[in-house]
Amino acid sequence: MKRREFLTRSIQAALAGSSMTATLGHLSLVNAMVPPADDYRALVCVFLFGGNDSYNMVVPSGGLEYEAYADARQSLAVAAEDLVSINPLTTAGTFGFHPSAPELAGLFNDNKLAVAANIGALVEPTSRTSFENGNIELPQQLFSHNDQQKYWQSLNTNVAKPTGWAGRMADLLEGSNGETGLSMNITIAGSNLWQTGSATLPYSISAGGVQTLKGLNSAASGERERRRADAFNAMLTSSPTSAIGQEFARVQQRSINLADLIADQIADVPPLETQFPDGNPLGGSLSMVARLIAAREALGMKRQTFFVSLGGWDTHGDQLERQPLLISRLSQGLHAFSQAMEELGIGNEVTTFTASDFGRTLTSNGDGSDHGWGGHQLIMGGAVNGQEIYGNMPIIEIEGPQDSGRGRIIPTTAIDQMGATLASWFGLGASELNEVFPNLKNFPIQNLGFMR
Amino acid sequence: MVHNNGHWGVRCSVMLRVAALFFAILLGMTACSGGGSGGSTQTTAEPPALTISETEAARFLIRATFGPTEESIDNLVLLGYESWLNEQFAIPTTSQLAKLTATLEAANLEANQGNAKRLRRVDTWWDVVVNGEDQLRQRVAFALSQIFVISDEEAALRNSVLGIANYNDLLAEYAFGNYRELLHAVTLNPMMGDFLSMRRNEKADPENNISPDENYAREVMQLFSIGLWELNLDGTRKLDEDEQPVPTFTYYEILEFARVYTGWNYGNAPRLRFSRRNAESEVIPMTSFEDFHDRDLKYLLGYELIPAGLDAPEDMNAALDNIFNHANVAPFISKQLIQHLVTSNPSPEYVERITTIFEDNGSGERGDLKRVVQAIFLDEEALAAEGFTFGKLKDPLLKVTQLWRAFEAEGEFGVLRFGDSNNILGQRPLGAPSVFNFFRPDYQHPGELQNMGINSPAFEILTESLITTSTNILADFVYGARTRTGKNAARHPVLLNFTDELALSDDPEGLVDHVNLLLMGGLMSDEMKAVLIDNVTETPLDDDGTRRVQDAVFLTVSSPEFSVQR
Repeated sequence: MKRREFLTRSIQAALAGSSMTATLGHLSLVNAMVPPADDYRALVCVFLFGGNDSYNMVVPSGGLEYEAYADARQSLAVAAEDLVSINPLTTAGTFGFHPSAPELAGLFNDNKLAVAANIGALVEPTSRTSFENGNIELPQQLFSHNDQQKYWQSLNTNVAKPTGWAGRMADLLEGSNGETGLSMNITIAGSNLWQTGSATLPYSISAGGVQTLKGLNSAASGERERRRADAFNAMLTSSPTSAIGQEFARVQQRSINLADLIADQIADVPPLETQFPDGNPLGGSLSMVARLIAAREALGMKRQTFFVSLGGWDTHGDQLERQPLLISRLSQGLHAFSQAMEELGIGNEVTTFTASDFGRTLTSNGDGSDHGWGGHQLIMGGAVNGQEIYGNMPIIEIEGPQDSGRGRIIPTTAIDQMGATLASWFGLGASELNEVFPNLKNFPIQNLGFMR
Repeated sequence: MVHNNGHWGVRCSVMLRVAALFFAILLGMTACSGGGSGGSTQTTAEPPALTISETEAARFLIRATFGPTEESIDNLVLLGYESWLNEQFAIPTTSQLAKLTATLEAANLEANQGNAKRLRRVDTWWDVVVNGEDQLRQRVAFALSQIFVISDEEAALRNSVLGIANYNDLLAEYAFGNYRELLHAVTLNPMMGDFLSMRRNEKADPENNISPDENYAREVMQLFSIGLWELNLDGTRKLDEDEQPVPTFTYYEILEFARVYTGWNYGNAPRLRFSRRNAESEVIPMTSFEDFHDRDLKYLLGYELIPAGLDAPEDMNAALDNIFNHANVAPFISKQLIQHLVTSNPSPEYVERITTIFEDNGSGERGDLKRVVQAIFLDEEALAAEGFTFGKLKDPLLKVTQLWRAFEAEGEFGVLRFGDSNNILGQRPLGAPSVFNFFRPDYQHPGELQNMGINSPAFEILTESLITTSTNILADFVYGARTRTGKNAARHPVLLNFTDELALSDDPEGLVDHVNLLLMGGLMSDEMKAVLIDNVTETPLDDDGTRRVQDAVFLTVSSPEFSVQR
């Protein structure tokens, strides 16, 4: 605790004693002005449910570094000759992407994709020593799926009413959007904490689009349908007999209020040239996001977040068969989405990033890996300072200085830092960043620099 | 079935209090207050003649079955709660495995028609829960399937249709058995072995940096038995001196338990490193291969030590005993069963009453699920069903089963099929997105419900998108929409039998009362009744009454009031 107070004070002191852009190096507060109302920005979160073994997604490929990796990972290791090499502009060392991710490697080398290395759930900077001594504050229930999913999305779960960081952003920025009542936050992957704020709820749309109610049009030509619609609506607004029924009515009403508008606007969007990969659930979700973004002006949206997901990453077993398929879906899905954004001419206005429950153990359990901690994430878009690895690649060593046990690597960069870098681009100011990212103040670098 | 049930009202509310009081005494509890008329029964040794009304029966059946029918209401009125429960306890499991096996033989599908086989696995579930006699057993099995989750969304189970049907049979079989035996059967079930990767888990191989798989070790404790936080008997979290919750285990215990669950493969596998399988592999319990089992000593929960040298089954038994005897099991499992069957927000007192029975059924047995289930349904809080926050948002699947049972649904080709319900309702039997089920029991829907601090689990899948697709599919069913069809289509059109309702179509009030009883256990508000009666009255009776009946039924099942199980 003492260390944290010290850090907080030193950051506060640094802020107080400096002009806005100096001193803290990467802190780029220039970007953090609330943007003029005529621009557009969207953040797309691709949540990889289950915990991506991302140490096999981005791999050190140089001699000794690769040997250390292969030594730690043993049968889980990707063969050196199979890696798709990438060319970071300044990061020292050589690296490759998983063989199922040639599209991602292409985007990286094209300057449209960056890697944020060894990101994870941290309340304050954590070392192996402080972890083992226990004199440090840690997120609750590390290594538990649902707790860590919530932590990633919220960064502050230990409260009665947790909110998510996109929800908190929306609470601050909701005014940027038009008057349709459509939430700033749209989910293609159902309920989620990330987009839930104190005053913001995500609006859910399925990958197939929006359905409107059948046979319940109160302006229908048929008398029977009008009568039925009136009765249906009367029940939605009648005095509630139960809190649960009352909330059900609210959700149904919210669905009705916007369904027609959204369905009409999506229908008006000309079909995209970009082909999204067939049979790829992520591709289907991102295709719907692309259509919604294409309809942004008609919907009056200036700031949006989208939540999509791809499940199945909990590769305790058969990892060598399962992970390549997943990575290939991710790679092809993201690539198509990048093309679609360029086709729409707004590649620079849309930033996509990955998130996942946690990384996985470096050590094998025989044919898979178990729940870990830190992991790599991807950031993609025209506004990304691509072709670079941000943060620090982990020391791949069992019982090494960053190992909390079995190769559960302690993160060296906090989710708060990655989130704040994105949020700063999205339009949040410095004080707002600290409001939205509760642990940000505990870390010396508040902007990782991967956004232009 | 009596349609003109107006005279029941007054008499029955008294009877309910008498019944509740009687069962409260039976279960050794303090009687609830407010039932003055029942006072004299307290000193009577003979139980009073227990009479329940049709509406009480219907409400009970909405919880304890997949939906009331005219026949089941009559039967429960005749028997009373306790005899009805005893009758249900005695009905053997309708085997989904047996039905599915027969169906697959008849369908004569090719090996590569995996999707057609999966549809038939789900058909079997619908058939059994809609038409089976063992309603209570299957209803409890449905609750258990959302606690002891497996799912064919997981690649390893995608083609294991027999294994999944058999797993449902297992849950139904143990629904009235002992929790410890259920835990053992679930642990050694090959589908669970595949789902949470205990199958082929090996002891450590330090030279190759291989440690035992932690998957089952974690989830069996986090989800199937004790949960993450120490609990009081009443289900609330224990707090330490800093008012912080107390974790039940750390990852050091996971490492120890992971070593317990080593050395298992399919029951007919010749050795551990062997992955071929046949139909039998999916359904018989896993067997152990000692060369791959870690025989060193292990520290379990509460620093209990199991000595070195035990074989895999012995270690397994010691570990499951260790978990079973943890103080969290009773509140953790009891509360979730209450949440799935009766209300998302049981009072701590209700939880504690059930927990007490879980810990000792009165004959010294711990984990007697039959007594637990009985106590959950007969608890005074369940029978009183009072308050603005009481009850639960219905599982979307249960809305459909209710509709189909009430009106004797028949599917095209004689098969009730709703194989894509995950896309439309957000829920498909034994098809959750992960071991965390479709929704979590402690989910609090942001907004008013969270502000009230109440759990609202099924709201986690009630999105703006799914609420409308659900309403639309209910319309399809009620109005007999002719959807895309074919023997391997994801869904079949259904036909509902409205004979009894059509007979009431010239009596708007009678029709609405009847629908109210059958679908809502008589809980429809006066305001909603008035809306429906107006709608029926204004609909011209220039057909056989179908339009009136369809509109009344559809408006009921799509209403906010029907969405709540109270």
